[in-house]
Amino acid sequence: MRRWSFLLQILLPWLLASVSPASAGPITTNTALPVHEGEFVIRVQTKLTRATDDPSPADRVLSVWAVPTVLVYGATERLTLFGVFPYFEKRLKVRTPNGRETRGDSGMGDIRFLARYTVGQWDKPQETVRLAPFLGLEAPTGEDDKEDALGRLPPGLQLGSGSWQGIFGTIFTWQRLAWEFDASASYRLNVDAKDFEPGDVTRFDLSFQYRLTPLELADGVPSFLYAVAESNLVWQEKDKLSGSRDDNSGGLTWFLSPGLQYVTERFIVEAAVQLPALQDLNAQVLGSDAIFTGGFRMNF
Amino acid sequence: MWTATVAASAQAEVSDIELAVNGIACPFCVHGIRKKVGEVDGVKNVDVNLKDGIVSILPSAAASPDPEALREAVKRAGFSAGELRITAIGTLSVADDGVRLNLRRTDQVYYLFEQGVEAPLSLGPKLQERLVELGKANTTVRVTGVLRSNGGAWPGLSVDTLERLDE
Repeated sequence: MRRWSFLLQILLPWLLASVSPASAGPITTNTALPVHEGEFVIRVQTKLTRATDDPSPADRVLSVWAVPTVLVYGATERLTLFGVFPYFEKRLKVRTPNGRETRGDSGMGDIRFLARYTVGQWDKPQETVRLAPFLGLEAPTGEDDKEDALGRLPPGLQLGSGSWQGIFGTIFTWQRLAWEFDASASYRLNVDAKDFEPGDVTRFDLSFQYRLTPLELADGVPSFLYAVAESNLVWQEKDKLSGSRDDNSGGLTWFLSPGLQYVTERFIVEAAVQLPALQDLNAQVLGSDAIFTGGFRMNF
Repeated sequence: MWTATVAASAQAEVSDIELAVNGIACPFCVHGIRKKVGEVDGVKNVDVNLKDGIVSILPSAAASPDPEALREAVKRAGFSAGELRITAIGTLSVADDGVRLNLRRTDQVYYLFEQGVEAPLSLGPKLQERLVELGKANTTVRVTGVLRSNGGAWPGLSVDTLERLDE
């Protein structure tokens, strides 16, 4: 179970941490573009990931469906507040002596609150460069003590972590009419809950968007179709069980994510597939399949 | 650079405004600009041309939008306001501190100046002479130029183009 525990621990924070919308921006990571003062943006994504290549006799199949809904509020022209409300369906199918069993849970996970402040803003004609650190907390609002016939679900299958978590980082964005580049670095500080402490997570994200259409801008406000290429490097430290490090946990995962994004004045529709390019894990852990991401954002 | 143009009826006191907005580079960002500019008093309608960086605004019949309020709206949308170019209609008067354009039907006044003149917010002798003549004749004129802040006094307006509206 530890192998699966690691897989869940590294994927689920990753799924959530990738949602932080503002204006047009990356699909799987963050942007420093502004949300206008006093206004809201809503973003809903659906993320589906599966892990099916289990070499063990247990023939385990993990599927996680995450639907994070993000409400964004422009408190000032520089300060943006985020609330992330995730819904999960987590299912682990495993072969047992009694036949195939399914474990898991579904419902709302831990709610996250983030504040992002633009400390650097360099605007030029049809071009902007922004730098924006962010700071956040994740509240233990999701169920973390779910049990089934086989006992208490492992932490990774629980909807919530059971503890407060902290996250901080910074985002750099450079946008022009034809393209956009975003880079972000973040650190997620996980704390102990019920004698289990997931390893802290460090991630580096890059995103490049290039406008495919229109080739020439027409009058008015034409909608843009972007090709998107993103990179997500995620490193998780080893978990702690009752204060001891779990050598069957932690490691490095690198995803490459091609995608498409359609941007209008009022909404954005986007899709990407996150492909594991590297999974350098600390133990013989089952790697994940691709992660499919789709979503939309709307201005209010 | 992104500009906003106010297209107005011939009776409006400020008939055209071009507000340069720096930092805007995608359609999703336009919404904030359109909404914030549209909330400014005196703005009836806003049209955007992203290609040329132009927003066309139809002012309400009762009042013209305050240029400083437009700048503030751009800032609240998260972007940077640049040069503000307007076309204003009014009559000229000469005071000790310069030549004024007094807008019709409002109390708004602009001090006229000439771009390229070394002293700030001042006029070259040739243009000043012409403006004084027009002022003495109480002629209604249309002036197009760039607005400049004037240390808390009435703002300055450069005389880039000057047109007599009555003979």
